[in-house]
Amino acid sequence: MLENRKTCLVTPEQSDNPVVHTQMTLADLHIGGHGTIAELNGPRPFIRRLMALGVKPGSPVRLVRVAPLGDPLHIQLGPLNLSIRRQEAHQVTVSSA
Amino acid sequence: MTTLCAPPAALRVATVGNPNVGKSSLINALSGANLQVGNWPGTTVERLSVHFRWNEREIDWIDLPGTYSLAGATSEEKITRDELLHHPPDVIVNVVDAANLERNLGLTLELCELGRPMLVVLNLVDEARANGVTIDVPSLARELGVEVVETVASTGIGCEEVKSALVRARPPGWHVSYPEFLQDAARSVQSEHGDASFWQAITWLSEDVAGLNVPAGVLQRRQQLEQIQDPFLSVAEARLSAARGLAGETEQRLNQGPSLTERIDRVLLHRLLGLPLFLLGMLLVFRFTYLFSDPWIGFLDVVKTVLSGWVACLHLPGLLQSFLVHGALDGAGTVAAFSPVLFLLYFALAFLEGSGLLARTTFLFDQVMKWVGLPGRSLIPLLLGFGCNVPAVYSTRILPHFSDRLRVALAIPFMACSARLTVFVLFAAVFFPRHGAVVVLSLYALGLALGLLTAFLTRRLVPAETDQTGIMELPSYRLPSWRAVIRQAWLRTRSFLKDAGGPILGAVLLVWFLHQVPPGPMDRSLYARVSQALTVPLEPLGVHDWRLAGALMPGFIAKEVVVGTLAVSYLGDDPVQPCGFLEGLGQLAGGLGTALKETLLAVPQLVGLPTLPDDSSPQGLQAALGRAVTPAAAYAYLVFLLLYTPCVATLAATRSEFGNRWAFFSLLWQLSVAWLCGWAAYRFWPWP
Repeated sequence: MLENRKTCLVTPEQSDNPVVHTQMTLADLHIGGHGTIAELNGPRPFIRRLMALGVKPGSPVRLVRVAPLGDPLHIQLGPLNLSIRRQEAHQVTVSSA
Repeated sequence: MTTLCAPPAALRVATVGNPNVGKSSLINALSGANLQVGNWPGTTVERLSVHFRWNEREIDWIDLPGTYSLAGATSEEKITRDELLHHPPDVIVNVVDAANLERNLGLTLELCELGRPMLVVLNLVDEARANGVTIDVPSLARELGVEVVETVASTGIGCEEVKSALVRARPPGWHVSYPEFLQDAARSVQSEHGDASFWQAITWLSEDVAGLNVPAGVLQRRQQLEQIQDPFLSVAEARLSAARGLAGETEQRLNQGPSLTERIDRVLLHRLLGLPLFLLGMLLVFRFTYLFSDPWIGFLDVVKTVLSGWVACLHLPGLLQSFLVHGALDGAGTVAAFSPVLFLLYFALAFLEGSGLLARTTFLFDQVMKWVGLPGRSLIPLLLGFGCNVPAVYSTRILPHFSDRLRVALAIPFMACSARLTVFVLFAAVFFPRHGAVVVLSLYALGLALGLLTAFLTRRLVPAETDQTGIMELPSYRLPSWRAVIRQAWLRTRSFLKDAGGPILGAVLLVWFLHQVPPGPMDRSLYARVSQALTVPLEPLGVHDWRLAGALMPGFIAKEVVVGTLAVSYLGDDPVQPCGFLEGLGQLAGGLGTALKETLLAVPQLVGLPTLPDDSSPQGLQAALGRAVTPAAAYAYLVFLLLYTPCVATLAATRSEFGNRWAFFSLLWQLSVAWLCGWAAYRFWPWP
C-alpha cells in the first residue's frame, strides 16, 4: 500500500526549480557544518516522524557533533536538538547553505 | 418559580503536548496531594490524573502521554490519539514549549482540527526568555482563536490562570489552508460521516494511521485524489507553512551566544570525555544511594530490634513469640529494608529523566548497545540493576518497545546488585583475603557479560516492533520540579511495597515454618531436610554442606538475608533481648537521631568513589565458613549465588511488567546459567 511507497518531500520552491542541488546528505556534513534541509526520502512513517520532530524541508540545519563511537549524529535546527543515526541521516539531503 | 437542576457534570480536561514540555510539572503543580498514578489499561505507560474543585466546578484532569503528532505510531502516541478520538475531553489543554514554538505548533494545528474547546498553555517561558525568545501572546491568541496562558509550571506560576481559563475555553478559530481540492473533499467526507472531526476527515484522505480505520467510501475518494496530487504531501506542506508562518509572526528571537545547554553539552558529550564522565556520573549515583540509604536501613534495624524486644516482654508461648519475631517482624523488616535504596534509585532515575540527562545517555551509548541489538537507552536500566534489580526492571518502561523492555528485563537479574555484595564481601574475607577486590570485580564482570549475552541471544525471541527509528530529541537541560521527582519516586516505591510486600513476607514465613518443624535442633528440622535435598544438585559445584545450600532458599527472598541465615545456621539463633516500653522508645529516638546525623554527615562525602564495604558479619562465621568448603567451591558458590535467581521482588516486578510466562522463563534461564557457570568455575579452577 501507500505506506511503504518511497516518498520524497521537498519545499515548493525546489519542486519548481529543475536545477539539481548538491546531493549531499546530513551524514556528509562536516562537524560544525551548516546546510538547509532539501529532501526527506524514505517510507511514509519515517518521513512523518521526521517532520513531527521538526526536520522539515527549508529548515537550516547544523551538524553539532558526532557521538564518541561515530554514531549517532547530533544535529541542530534552530532551537531543536536531535539525535539521528547515520543510516537515517543518509535519507535526508541537504543543500549547502 | 424555582427550578432545581442537577449540578453540571465534572469538566473533563486532557493535557496534550510534545514530550518534555512540562506536562507532568503542570499536573503536579495543580494537584496537591490528590495526584493519582496508574497505568493506561493493557500497557505499562504511566497514567496521571487528578480530580479537583475550582470555583464550585468539579474538574477531572488527565495527563495524556507526550506526542509529536496525532498520527504518531509509538504506543504512547496511540494512547493519546485513541483517548482524544474515542473519549473526547470537554477541554483540550495544549501545553506548548515557548522555546520551541514552531515545532510545537505542528501538534497545536492538528488539535485545532478536532474542533473541541481548547486552551493553550505556553510553558517554560523562563527558559525561552533566557534564550532570548519572546512570544507575542495576544497575537498568538488572536490567530489561533483560543486563550493562551503563560506558565512556568515547575514553580507554579500561571497555574491559577490556567484553572480559571478552563471554563472559558472555546473551539479554536484557526484553519490551515489546504489546497482547494483537498479542502472540499474533507468537508464532504465530514458531512457524510456526521461525528467525524475535520482532522479525522483529512487524515483518512491523506495517510494510513495505525488504529484509525478508514471507512470504505473514503478510501476510494483518497485513491481518486492521488490521481490529482498526493494528499499526504499536500497536507504536510500546508501544515508546514502554516506553522512556520504563525511562528514567524508571533515569535521574536534575539541572537545570543551558545545557550547553557550547549555549553554543558560541549563537556558532557565531548568525543573523548563523554563516556568516562558518564561512568563517573553513574558511580556518583550509586555512592549517593548508598551513603543516604545506609543510615535509614540501620534505623529500620533498630525499629525491628525494639519491636522484637517489646514482643519478648509479653512472655508469649515460645512458638508464638518465634512466629512474631522471626517470622512476621523479620519479614516486615526485610520488605521495609528495600525502601530506602529503592526510593533513592527511583529519585535518581526521575531526576535523570526530567533533567535531559537520560537522552544524552542514549546518544552516547547508542552504538555500544547496538552491538547487542538494543537501543542506547537500555544502558540505564542495566546500570540501575547494579544498585537493585527491582527498580531496574520497572525502569525498562523508558524503552518504547516491548521486545526491548523484555530483553533488558531478562538481562537485569545478572547484574550483581548491592545485596549480593554483602555475601561476596564475606566470602572474599574468608577465602581470598589478599585478592578480595579482584574476586568481587570478576563476579561483577561475569554478571555484566552474561547479561549482555542474554540480551544478544534473545533477539529472536520476541518479534521486534516495526517503525524502529533512532531519531530522538535532545531536550534542553533543566532542573525538574523537585515536587514531581520526589512524588514520582515515592509513588513507585509505594507500589513496590504493595506488590512485592506480600510475596516477600510469605516467603519469610515459609522459611520460618521450615525451621520450626519438627521442633528440636536445627539439624533435624524440615529446613535441614530440604537443604540437604538441595545440596545434591550443588555437589558438582563442590558444595557439600547443607547449610550453604539451605541459605540459598532465603536468598531467593532477598540476597541480603543470606549472611544472616548462614550465621544462624552455623552459630545458632540470636536470643531476643526483651526490652521495656520506655527503654524501647529511647532506643527508637536514639536510632532516629543517629540516622539523621549520619545522613547529614553523608552530604560532604558525596563526591568520591564507592569503596568495598567491610564485612560486618558476626564473629565466628568466618571461621565456620573456612572449615565448610574449599576456595574453589567457595568461588563456585558465589558464582551460583550471583546468577541463580532474581529475588522474589525482582520476579514479582518481572511478572507484573511482562506476565507469568516471561517471569517463569527468566527463572529457568537464570537457574540453568547459574548451574553451568558454577560447575565450570569449580571444574576449571586453576588455583588450590
